[in-house]
Amino acid sequence: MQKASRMQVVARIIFLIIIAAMLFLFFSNDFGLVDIHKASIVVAVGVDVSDDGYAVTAQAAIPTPAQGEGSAAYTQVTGNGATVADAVDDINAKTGFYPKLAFCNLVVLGEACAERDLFTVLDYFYRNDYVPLTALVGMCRGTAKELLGMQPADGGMSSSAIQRAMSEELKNSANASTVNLKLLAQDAGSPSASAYMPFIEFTQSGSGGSTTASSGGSKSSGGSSGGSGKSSEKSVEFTCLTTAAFTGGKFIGVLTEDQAFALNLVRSNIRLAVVNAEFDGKNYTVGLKNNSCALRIAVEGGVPVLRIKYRALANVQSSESRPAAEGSANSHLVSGGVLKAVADTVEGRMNSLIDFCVESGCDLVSAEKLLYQRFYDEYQSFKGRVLQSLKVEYDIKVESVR
Amino acid sequence: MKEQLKTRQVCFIMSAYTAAGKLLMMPAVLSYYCDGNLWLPALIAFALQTAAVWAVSYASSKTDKTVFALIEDTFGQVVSKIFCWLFAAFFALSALLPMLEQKLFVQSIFYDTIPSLITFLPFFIFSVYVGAKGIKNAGRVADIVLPVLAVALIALLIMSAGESNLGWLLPVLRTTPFSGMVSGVRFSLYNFTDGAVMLMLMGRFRYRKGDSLKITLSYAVSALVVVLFLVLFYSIFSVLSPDQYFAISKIAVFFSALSLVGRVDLVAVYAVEVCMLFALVLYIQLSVTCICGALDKEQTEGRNVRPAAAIASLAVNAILLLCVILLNNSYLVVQQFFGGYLWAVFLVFAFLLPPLVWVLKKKNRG
Repeated sequence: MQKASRMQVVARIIFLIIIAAMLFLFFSNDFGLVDIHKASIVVAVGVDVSDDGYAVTAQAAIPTPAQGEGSAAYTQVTGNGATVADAVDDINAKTGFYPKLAFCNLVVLGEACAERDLFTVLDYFYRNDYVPLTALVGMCRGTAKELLGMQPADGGMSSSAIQRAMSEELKNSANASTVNLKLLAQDAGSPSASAYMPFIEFTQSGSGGSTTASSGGSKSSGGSSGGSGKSSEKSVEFTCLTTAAFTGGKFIGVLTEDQAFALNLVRSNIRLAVVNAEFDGKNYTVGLKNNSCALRIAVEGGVPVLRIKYRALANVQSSESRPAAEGSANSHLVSGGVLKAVADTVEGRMNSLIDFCVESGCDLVSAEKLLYQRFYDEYQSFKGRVLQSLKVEYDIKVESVR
Repeated sequence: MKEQLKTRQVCFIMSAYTAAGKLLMMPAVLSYYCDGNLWLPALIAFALQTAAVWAVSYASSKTDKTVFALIEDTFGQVVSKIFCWLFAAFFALSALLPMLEQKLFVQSIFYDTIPSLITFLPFFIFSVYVGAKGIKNAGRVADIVLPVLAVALIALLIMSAGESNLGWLLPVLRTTPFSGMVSGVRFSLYNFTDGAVMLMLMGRFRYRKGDSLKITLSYAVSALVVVLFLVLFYSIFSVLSPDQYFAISKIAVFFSALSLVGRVDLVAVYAVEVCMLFALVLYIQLSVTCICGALDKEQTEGRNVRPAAAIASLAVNAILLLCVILLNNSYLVVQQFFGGYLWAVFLVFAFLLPPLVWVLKKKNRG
């Protein structure tokens, strides 16, 4: 008994020593904190191809001490290098910041990246363990550096405004072909070997029509910084209504708005899409709810047949023919003629998308992947040329809400 | 027989620790060799292990003795001691690769800069302490680990289900060559030690009618959860799967609510991590138990750890610590060595030896 209690005393002493050792280990790294003046949180990265290799522009939110002056600040720094990683290291060397990409939610590729293999450009982001695969990816005309340097209409960070233009809400309304790093690699790595990403454009606030980044205002080349309400430049609005397409890592082209809309219907879960259709010489803007678009492939008569089945419920959102204010009953109901016009519009856009795919050999509708997954034996004989021999059948039905 | 565990605790050990140890690297390793058919090698290994677990648990109905006592009855004391040492070495070996995985996991998930080795070393303090405790302690811990693991896993599976696309698993069994399947089995075999674990639990719980079925079912359910996890993992990451180390921490990151509320999935990941640590320490506990058995020393006296167990735990952990330090940056080399050569050791100890318990003399029951 005495022996046991002595053991217990020894155990308690050892326990206290262990606690002390663990506390020492825990606190020996300055509570895990990093000097706030040396830290930056990179929220967006722009990649451009330069003569020397790559130029990487990092837009970083700078944590400011509570007693410091000014509002939440951000900075934009560009580094150059033979590879993207080398350019990121250059940023570190120039600024002394620890570039933390764990919060990088946006990767923008400049137009010149189209000259290179897409996944060579993005290689760093897939290799880096701390870059989240949820980071959104987009391409812009001109340079990513200029795009990120623009002042959005709300006065905040351009990366936030661009992310809003690529948000889940816009994806759900078929207005943006939003993809993240994971989806991009999955599409490109599938038997279809084709991928897409939003093509970012901007308009000067208050002006009509889109403007390319190369024609817009830009900040200094070395680096710039800003804060809320600081800039006096003309502000811009970002949109992602068109889509950049890639096959085998090579840039193929930019889809039109109609083609991008069809692509979004086919590839995303759309909650509410808005379509403008003309019937009897009058414009009808129709909201499409309960969208479902299923792609089925079959091999019939030795030919792969892609069936696109699209269903939606429509309601009139705005009409030139019969204003709701005039007191008509059930004004949201859609007449048969308008429904047919809407269905034709959707089919026309899908047809345009298929034409683009066939002409460019860019399998954005995943026909090759579907054949690989469902008809593996037949796939062997069509491998690499599914699009050329593809027959497409549409089954589009749009009904009025009741 | 000195009863150390309840049947419930045996079920919990076979269930919780089976799942916990296989959710970290195994999904990436299997997807590297087998693509979308990664579930098949796991299913085959689990089926064989389920048979081994059943064979051992059913053998428990015929005797109250531990496997080493049965070996002693059949072949004599010397052979029994040899097997004690062999199993001690086997369980220490079984802990090595999972320990390196845990080190990488802890460093990767808990620290966002390049961490040093020292950040993982406190684990050995925990490991020495728990490792010295007997199997009875493992049973008590399993009582807590199973519910925690179950809740955390359910949360993670729910959060990740929305991102899955089962189409990525198609076509089934058409694209992976047989050699790929064999490699998948070989390189993941170090995760399948459950038959050997069950062998160590034999004779340490009072068998009642139907216990064999309960234990086997507990194991089978856990195996199915792991297979489901593998399916979900590949249906989320598809071609990116081989690079997705630490699957359990990545599977839920696409849950849409996380962008608003932050990485709440990490709460579940941390819970699973704690369970994984106990699953890892179970190997050390079993190794220490075998060493004490080989030395004919009691492991505990009441709640107190006997010196033999403490020294054995220190020794096993010291060897593992040395290995972790020496192999700090050589995880892939160790993995290749396990998959290339040591897989046969796991095949023998976890797959072939457990059913052979039936050839041993069983004297004292029924």
